[in-house]
Amino acid sequence: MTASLLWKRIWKHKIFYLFMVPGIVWFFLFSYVPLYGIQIAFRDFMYSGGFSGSPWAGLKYFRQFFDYYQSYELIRNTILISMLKLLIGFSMPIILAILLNEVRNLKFKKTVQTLSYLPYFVSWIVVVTLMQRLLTPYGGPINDLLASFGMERIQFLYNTTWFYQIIVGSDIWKNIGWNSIIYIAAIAGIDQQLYEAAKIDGAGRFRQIWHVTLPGIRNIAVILFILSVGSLMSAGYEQLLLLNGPSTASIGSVLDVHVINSGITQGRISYAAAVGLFQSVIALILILTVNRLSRKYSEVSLF
Amino acid sequence: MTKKWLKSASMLLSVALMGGTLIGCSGNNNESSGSDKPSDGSTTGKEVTLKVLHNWNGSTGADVDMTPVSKVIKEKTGVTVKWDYTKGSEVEKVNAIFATQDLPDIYTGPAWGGELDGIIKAAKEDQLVDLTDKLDKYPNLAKALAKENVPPALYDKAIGGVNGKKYLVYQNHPATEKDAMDWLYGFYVRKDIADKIGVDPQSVKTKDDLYNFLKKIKDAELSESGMPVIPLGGFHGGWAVGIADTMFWGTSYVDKGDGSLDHVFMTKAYEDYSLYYRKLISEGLLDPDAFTQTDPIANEKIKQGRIAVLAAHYPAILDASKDYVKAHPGSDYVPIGPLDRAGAEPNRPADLSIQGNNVTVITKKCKDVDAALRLLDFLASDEGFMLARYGVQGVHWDMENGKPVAKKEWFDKFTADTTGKLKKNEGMSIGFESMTGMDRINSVGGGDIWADQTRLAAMENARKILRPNGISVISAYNPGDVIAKSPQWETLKPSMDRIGDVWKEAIFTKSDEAALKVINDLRGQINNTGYSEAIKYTNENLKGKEVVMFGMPN
Repeated sequence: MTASLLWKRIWKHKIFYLFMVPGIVWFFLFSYVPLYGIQIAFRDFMYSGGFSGSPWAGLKYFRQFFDYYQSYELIRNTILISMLKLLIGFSMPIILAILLNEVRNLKFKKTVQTLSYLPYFVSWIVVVTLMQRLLTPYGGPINDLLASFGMERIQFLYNTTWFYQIIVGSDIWKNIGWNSIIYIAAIAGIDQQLYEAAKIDGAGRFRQIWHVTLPGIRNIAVILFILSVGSLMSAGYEQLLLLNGPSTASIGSVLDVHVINSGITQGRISYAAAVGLFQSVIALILILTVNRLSRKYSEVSLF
Repeated sequence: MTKKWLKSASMLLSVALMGGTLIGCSGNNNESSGSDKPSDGSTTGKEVTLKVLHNWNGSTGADVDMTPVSKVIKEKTGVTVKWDYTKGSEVEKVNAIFATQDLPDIYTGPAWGGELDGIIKAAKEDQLVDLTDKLDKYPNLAKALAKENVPPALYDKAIGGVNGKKYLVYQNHPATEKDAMDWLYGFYVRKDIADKIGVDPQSVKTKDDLYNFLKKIKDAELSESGMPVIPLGGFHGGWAVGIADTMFWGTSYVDKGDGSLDHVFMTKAYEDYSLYYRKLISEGLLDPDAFTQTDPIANEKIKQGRIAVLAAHYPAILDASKDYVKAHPGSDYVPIGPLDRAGAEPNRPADLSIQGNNVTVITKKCKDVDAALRLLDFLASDEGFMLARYGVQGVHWDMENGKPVAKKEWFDKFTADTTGKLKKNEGMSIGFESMTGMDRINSVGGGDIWADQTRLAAMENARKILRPNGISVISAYNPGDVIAKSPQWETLKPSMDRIGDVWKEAIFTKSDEAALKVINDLRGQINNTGYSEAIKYTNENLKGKEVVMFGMPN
């Protein structure tokens, strides 16, 4: 396509492109402009010098991170928690979307859908406070229920035995509804004639899901999976900041919280930027690798 | 036609969205701090509004902009103060304001820890106004900064000058011994619970006594509102359950036996201390949520009567237990001990670090430095001190026979108002109190005229029990202030900052071996980041100087 043809096409669909502008501006301001600040990972950040006037420090802060006695533990914990969230949490919104698609009672379907979105809009601090109230062994309703059945009270929170279950479970509960929206939209886009044809061929509900619905959302699922892999180096700082305590620090300390603590609490801005940049670089490598593999084996890819 | 309308509407919506995004992204710095110039364009005694950051987590101000006290301050100095109170970590706030350059005109906050380090860093990097040549015009401020009115190590570290220039104003250091505040940190037990288990709180002296005492409470299987009573608890983030440390060592830097100092974390005493607390946690004697809870949750437990022994300073315990005690007479928290102190003679007075609590600085973005100094100098005067603490003379209090006396009408109103809001709305108990120069509450103020007499009596009773030998104010050098000046400190500090967190991790481990491993891992990191050179520097610089060897929380 020649350049003039391209511009003609863009002009023809100018309204749609105009709709993209706020999004592009947002990305430019909040995702591209801050890239300028990456340089502080290679500088000794000083208040007086700012981003560009502070003296160069080379790879000093990257070395400090790799010399830090818990760097391996932090990377391991981050990847492990993210993997668990990805492996268990990734399929849940798909299952919810398929289940909702099978519900015929529209009122019930809308109610469930709305209720499943709600937790997404509740901040982690509220979610964790609720969990503390519900799960405490000192008068929490869950433990009261266990006790009424003659069972032992359990310290669910800040306990290494229950840590991963709590982290993954609460993450799924909070995000399942929101993450299912895109799958519900994808399912809605599947040609109804395919279902009718499947029915004529004698396919039941499960066969229709297997042969029509799942292939119909496959591409979306693969793309979202590739994007999710990009966040493997990020386990979610708000949740871990609140749900990790001294008793679970050995398995719950992650890079995101380390960055926040180093940067904001200790004022080691350059060090925090270096660790953050390390996370981002690894994430980019992961996305590129998975994207390439996906293109090779499933012919679906981001680019 | 419809299509055209649709097109136009779509375009309008897009433009509106884009505009909204851009407007949303634009800063709005002018709103909070006024213009960059004084309101009337002058810098000499005219009216100006200054933004003051009061960097104390949870501190609050008045509901009204102009209180009676603020009005008098405006009349005297021409300055209207617009307050910004911190909600969240003070250290994070210091680092954030300088990193983002969202600076107030005046900053006041803790005179210790990471907050003070952040201010010193800001001074070194020209973020603050140099007061050295200005102080001669402001005698009240100069007095607060005089060498004799500042603890020596703190004077050397910051107040006396950073790179030879004076930036920091030191606030609330006791002007005389009479003004020294002993917060009476300790372990306090509910009297009714001590009676129930039949143990006299004053018979608890040693580490073993304390452990057995808590064990007895646990074994009694007491319950309140259908929930088990927790033997030992504290407030937010574990404050201050760890204060049994004084039974294990004298102070953070201990004599190795050859006259040289070592940080206590590197010693066996620290291991014993950690294992002692590990035992308390593993046997259910210490609230496992103590380190992750917030103050509202801690207060709820106390209000429900679920904590038998509390570790903190006494005013906090009296405040938190007020409601429960009112509903359950005889359930007051009373002091345990006094507990033995490691290495201290039984007749040794309590060594307390009694010092100022605030440093105040004028930032480089201050729109009127003279006005800021005028304000600070007035507040540091006796008149300003009395105004910020007691309110307006003739309105809230009168001078009778040379002594301030509260007006009964206001005393009754303030006493009846358990929220404290009324007092704040009159302009007292807000940020001004943090900027009144040296603490003269007894020597000049004749004793707090608003103090609750019942509370004073409880404090006096606790003082008699916990301070049988009186107190001794620490005036010697603190090695912690000296090591912070060592060349290795930049790399060592992040490791040393981990000590508190590692202690908490250690006491929650499943075995003593695991606890020691957690401690030893950090010791390795501390050694790898320059500890031996830094402690050598500290020992060399403290040669011939009197060093703090005993200290108790205050």
